[in-house]
Amino acid sequence: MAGLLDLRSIALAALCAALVPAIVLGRGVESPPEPEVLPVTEPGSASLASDGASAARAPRPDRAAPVASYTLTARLDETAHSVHGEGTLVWRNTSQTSTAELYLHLYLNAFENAQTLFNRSSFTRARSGRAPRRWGKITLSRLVARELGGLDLLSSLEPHTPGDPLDATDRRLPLPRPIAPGESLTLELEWEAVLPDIVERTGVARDFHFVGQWFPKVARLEADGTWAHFPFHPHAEFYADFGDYDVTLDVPDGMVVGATGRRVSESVEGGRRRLRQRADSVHDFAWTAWGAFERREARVGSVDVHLLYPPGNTLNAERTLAALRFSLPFFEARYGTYPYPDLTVVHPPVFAASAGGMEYPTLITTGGPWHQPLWSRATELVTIHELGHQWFYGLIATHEPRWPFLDEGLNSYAETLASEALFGPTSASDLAGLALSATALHRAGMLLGAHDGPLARPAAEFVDFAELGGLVYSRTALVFRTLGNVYGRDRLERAFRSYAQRFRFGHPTPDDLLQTLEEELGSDAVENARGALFEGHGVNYSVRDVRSVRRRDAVAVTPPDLAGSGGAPAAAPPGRFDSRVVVHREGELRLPVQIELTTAGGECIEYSWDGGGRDEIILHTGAHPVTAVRVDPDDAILIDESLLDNAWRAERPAPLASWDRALFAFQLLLAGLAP
Amino acid sequence: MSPVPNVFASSPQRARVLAAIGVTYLTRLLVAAIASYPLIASIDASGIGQFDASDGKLFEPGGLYLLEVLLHERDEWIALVAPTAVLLVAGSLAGVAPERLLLRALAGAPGATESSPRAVECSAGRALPRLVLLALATWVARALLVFATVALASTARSYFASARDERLPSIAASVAVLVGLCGGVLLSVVRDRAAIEITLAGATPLDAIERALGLLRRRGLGLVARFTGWTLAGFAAVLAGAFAASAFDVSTRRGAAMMAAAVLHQLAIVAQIALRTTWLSSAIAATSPPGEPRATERAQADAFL
Repeated sequence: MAGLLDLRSIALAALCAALVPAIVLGRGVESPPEPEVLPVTEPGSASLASDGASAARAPRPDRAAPVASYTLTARLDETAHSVHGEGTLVWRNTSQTSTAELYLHLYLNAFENAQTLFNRSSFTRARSGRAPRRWGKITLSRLVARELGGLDLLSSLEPHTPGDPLDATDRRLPLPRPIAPGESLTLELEWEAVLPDIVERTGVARDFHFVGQWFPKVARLEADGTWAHFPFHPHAEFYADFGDYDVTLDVPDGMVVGATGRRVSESVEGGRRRLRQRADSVHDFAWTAWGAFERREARVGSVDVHLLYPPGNTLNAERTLAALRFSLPFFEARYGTYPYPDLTVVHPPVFAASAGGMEYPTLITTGGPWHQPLWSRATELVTIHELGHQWFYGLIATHEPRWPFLDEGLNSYAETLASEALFGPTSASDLAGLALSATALHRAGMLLGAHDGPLARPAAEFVDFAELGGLVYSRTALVFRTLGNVYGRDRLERAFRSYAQRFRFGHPTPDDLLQTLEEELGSDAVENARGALFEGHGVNYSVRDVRSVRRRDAVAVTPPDLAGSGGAPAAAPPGRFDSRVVVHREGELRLPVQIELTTAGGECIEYSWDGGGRDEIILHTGAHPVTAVRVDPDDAILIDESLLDNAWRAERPAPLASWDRALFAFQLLLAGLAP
Repeated sequence: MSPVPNVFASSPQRARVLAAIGVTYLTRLLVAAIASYPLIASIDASGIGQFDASDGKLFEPGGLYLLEVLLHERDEWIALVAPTAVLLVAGSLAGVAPERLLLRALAGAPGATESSPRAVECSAGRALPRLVLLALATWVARALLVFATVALASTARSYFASARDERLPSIAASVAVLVGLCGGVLLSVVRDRAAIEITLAGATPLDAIERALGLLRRRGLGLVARFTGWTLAGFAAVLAGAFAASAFDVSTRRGAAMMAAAVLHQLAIVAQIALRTTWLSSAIAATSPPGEPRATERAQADAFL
């Protein structure tokens, strides 16, 4: 109503804050609608819905062949904020060549001091937004290889990341003898992990502990015998092999624990609580421990959902659960069954908010204040996004540091589909007639981010997190939304389903994705996808020129052949109008686009352009001149650099709707400012 | 507590008050139109007017084009913030003239006159600068109050920061904001009474504030209750107008819907002004008890003249 200094505006804001939730609360937390059922649209092809339904009905089928399995015990020291761990890693060489080395990722060493790669990189706008104030690290004290004569290899472990003496997150372990393909190696491990304060979703805040990347983790050996190892960069996430995890957690009694996998036993002795978690076919293990968590147990489909949230967040928990009830079957119908019996959802307390919004296998973290207004969908959006990662990261375990678009981009695409299926155009917010969609927000993110390079590049190559966010999350999501809009959403969804099935428990590359897309969408679509993803190509359609002239004779004129610009001459009666419309394409992408012409007589003519040339000239002769042109009337091309040059009208009316709202807003401002 | 005077006691009186309300509304409308013109011109220049729904497209569900225009025009809009703010402040200061007119019209109501017509007429030349001075002083006081409220809220929040129930810090901060709002109410009541003293009794700003504070001490509860009631009613009118107008879909540029939304918005503004007028009328009527203070005020006013 007025400026910040005006008390009446505060009162109004308070009233609004009281009224708006009350109005919306009247609806309560609505039961989510059923996930959208996609119709069969093409003869001979099964619909996604039927595939998904049958997949959902199928018994929990599959599991990954274990490559890196851990049996660990972890004891939390709640005062030193450290974890003492010990156990074994059984690793199997699944590549085609022998290897005489291993790489271990010791991610917590990223927080060891200010000189690590993580901390010396520009990450003022990274995921957690700041450097840790309390350092953390991981120190190995035992590294014995059973199959190598019980040799302790600790002294052989190289002290720092290859080529980077200041970083110790990526460590090479030379082996006394090569490990042959198919051969297994068991490493006995013991270590101490000191947690930093919450940074990059890991660490401690007061008495809240989120324990991620806390154990020595073997890197992934690719099929060709090369190690996919990397230091921990603030823009990057992780990459590992699947395996079976058996982890016993030892925490003070009174701590409420959430962890990857299913709890198979729990006991209390001597003031300590011991919990055993089993998780098969996963590639990471994270857990949290906090005494104040409240729990909410629910069953969604065949999955046991464990919600952990701070006191006072009951409504947030219900909203989270409602989002899960919709999105879990939604994703299952598209990308395959969620194969695990449990899903743990952690809502960190507000003082540890930067632990929120992260994905681990069978465990996700969400966030938001207890008073999150109901018109904002932030809680639901982050829940849907993180749940989507159970597929695009969890089951389809791509190399996140190398190709972040394969998990974040594809998952953001899936998130827009799910959130808009759930909420429609109000998937991001819905306040007093101002409805924003997740797609519109991603487009805003795309426009705000720089666009001068490919989307498909390593996380560390992005100049900051804003650029990564704009390109990897938002632009990638819109590239795929555009491909779906232009070449068929059902076809694209079938391609994604095929990709998700083919690479379930796999480690696909961008080429695998493109190949799958090509099978469903064809080469033109993939050429555009490749250009958008790998070359940084873009497109901007615009109405360049429109002219209409009245014919003065009755002889040949340009035909009303709207299938192309070069038809045979045809006769036209006098008094008719010749109209010439030029639509221009800038950028390298050649996306087919619809064009709509409207004449003064109200006739609406639709025209398809394959986007092949730079300009498309449309000639129209009719009783009335063309008075309006609209390129891409359905807003299919969401990566169009500017939507505002996609239309033309002969007469432009005054912007009355804007006048109305602006006048109202400024009148209220004046009322508030009034002395 | 003084009864609320009947501001529509006679037809000429009613006409004067309605005219003053009209002038207040039109002044605000004019200033708002001038202040919003660059913004509207920017929206128009963005190209949104080329679409079939014209700028109604900005209000399409999903907000795709709203964000599109916002992002394309953001540099221009950022550049507009400072001049628009100056214009609004100046326009707000100019608002003291119609307010004086309104107060004088209200003072004509039976039981509402505080000073002699001669005093009012003769002080007219000095009243406007004094009202402007009062406005400036009010803004400074509000700024200090907001600062104090924010500091108090922040302290209250941090005091409960270690509470496990996340609602406690928010509730503590809300209580602090409530205290600040109470201060704001008192400030507004004092300000409005001081404006009445300046306009109707020809008082200087300091004297006017002193008298207003004196009246607040003696009859504070009633004044605060009435101010709060009428002001909340004004807020309710504005909210009702905003929500009712939002029910009309203007995104497809349907003329009737757009007109209805605009009418509802403007009705809400008029209602808010009318409700404030009722409060001012009530504040004018809230004179001191018969006897010494009133006589003193009259004497001071006459002496001033």
